Amino acid sequence: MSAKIYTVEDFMKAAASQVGVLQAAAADFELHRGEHETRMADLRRQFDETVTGMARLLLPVLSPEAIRRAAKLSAYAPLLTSDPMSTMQSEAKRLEADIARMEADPRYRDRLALRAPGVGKLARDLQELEEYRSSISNVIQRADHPRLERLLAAGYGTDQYKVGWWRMSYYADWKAGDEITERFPDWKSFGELRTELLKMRDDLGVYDQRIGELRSEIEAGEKLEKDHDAAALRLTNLASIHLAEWQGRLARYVVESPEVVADRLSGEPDLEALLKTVVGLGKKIDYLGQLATTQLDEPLEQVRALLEKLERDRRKFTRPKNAGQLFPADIFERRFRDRSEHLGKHSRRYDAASRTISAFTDYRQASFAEDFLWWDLMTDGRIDGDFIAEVEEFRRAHPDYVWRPEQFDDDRAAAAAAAADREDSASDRMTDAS
Amino acid sequence: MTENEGRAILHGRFEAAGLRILDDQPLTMGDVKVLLDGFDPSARVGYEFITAEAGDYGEFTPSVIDELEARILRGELFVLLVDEREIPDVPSLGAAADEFLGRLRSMGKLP
Repeated sequence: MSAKIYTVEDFMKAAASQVGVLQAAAADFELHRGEHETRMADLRRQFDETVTGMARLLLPVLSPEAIRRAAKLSAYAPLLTSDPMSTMQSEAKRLEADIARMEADPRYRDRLALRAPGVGKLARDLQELEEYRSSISNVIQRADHPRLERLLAAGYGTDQYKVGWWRMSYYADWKAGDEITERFPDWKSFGELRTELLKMRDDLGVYDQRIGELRSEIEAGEKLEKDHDAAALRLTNLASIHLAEWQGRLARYVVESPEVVADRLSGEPDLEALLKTVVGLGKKIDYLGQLATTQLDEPLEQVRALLEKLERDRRKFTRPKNAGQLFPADIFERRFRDRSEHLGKHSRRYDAASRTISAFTDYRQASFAEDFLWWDLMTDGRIDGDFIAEVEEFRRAHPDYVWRPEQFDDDRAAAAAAAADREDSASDRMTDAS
Repeated sequence: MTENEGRAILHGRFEAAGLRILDDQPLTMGDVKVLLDGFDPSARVGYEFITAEAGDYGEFTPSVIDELEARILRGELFVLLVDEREIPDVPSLGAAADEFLGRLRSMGKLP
């Protein structure tokens, strides 16, 4: 420990230097974070594709035989209890009935005669009414004037108009009445114009109501056509829709219960390989996620906290009242020790582990045995993964465990034999059940 | 348009018609006494520019207007009643005053 005493000037210099180191580290963590997101997106895509591929291989078509095979291989009970074939056939019958009912409906049956653009009866009626409405509306709009409503309400141009000639409003009404009437040379007085305008307003209300009814009628017919077409499309593709739904359910089940499925796949090397790939990709996603949290996010958060504290202290020691502050050497030197090595360790650990994990593709080597650790398979036991919760828990639960790359060869052979025995007895049970 | 601007326009038009307009002339109608903005006592012709600014809405209430209109109908006096809310634009005020005065002339009430 040095006996030296440091001044505020020393503090400022050391702080500036440390800010540089911390900012560079933060930029490095953020850069790695960006690369990590790209890698994760690619892994998720691979995972989804593999799960889908496996579900398609488990249940390639929707037939009684294919359903029995998928149930046997996956032990997914709803395949047998839900009776997918009957469900699909029931829906087909319902859709056929719906389609027949809609096709008998005059709104569908006569759709062209009713709604074909320009020629259908409803379409023509609507067009005609809209044209009438437009011509009336144009006249009403031409009469628009700030004083029009007042003139109509006061009965201007009729015997009902009672405003005295000694009132300003009498002359304002007169002026407005003349201005409006001038726009309609065919009508001699505001009184005539008033009668026509009020009649047109009534007509407009009638037209608007009828137009609204026609539009509703047309929309109802169009909706019926859409419903019919959707039902017909679904009926055409019903088998593939139900197949895709069951494949989706199977895929979710496989992801949630891989160990149950694994026991039954020894005679299906392609499916077994796909299942291992699914589980392995899931592990990769999990490991890389935790790796990013512990080696990038948490250190980055610490770096940001340090930068904020440094900034606060720099402002504090800029004030004149703190200019004489002195710092004991042990505190000062501990605070401003070189952190670059410590910070770089996280990035290097992330780099090494993520590269190794990402590069791993030999999923077939995996085992579903209880004492198997994917982390060790992916890293060949060469990277300490105690910062991964699963690895840390596994090692605590298996204190005598040592990774031996060849150890699962024998296990795989034994598992295959056991699975073959189970398959025989399961096959018998399935036959009985059917 | 302010009270003063409106009154100035009306004053000018009424004077131009040969009237001798006196400002704020009292008019008693039974128990009610009001001040007319402009009035020629000998011709018994004038105007009232009713504005919120001058507090006229409290003075020229509907019942007062009714009484004034009854007297106009009987030919006892002729007052152009201008409610500021009914003036479409400034030129309209002068034009309305001219129309009012022309009508009085055609009735033989003005030379």
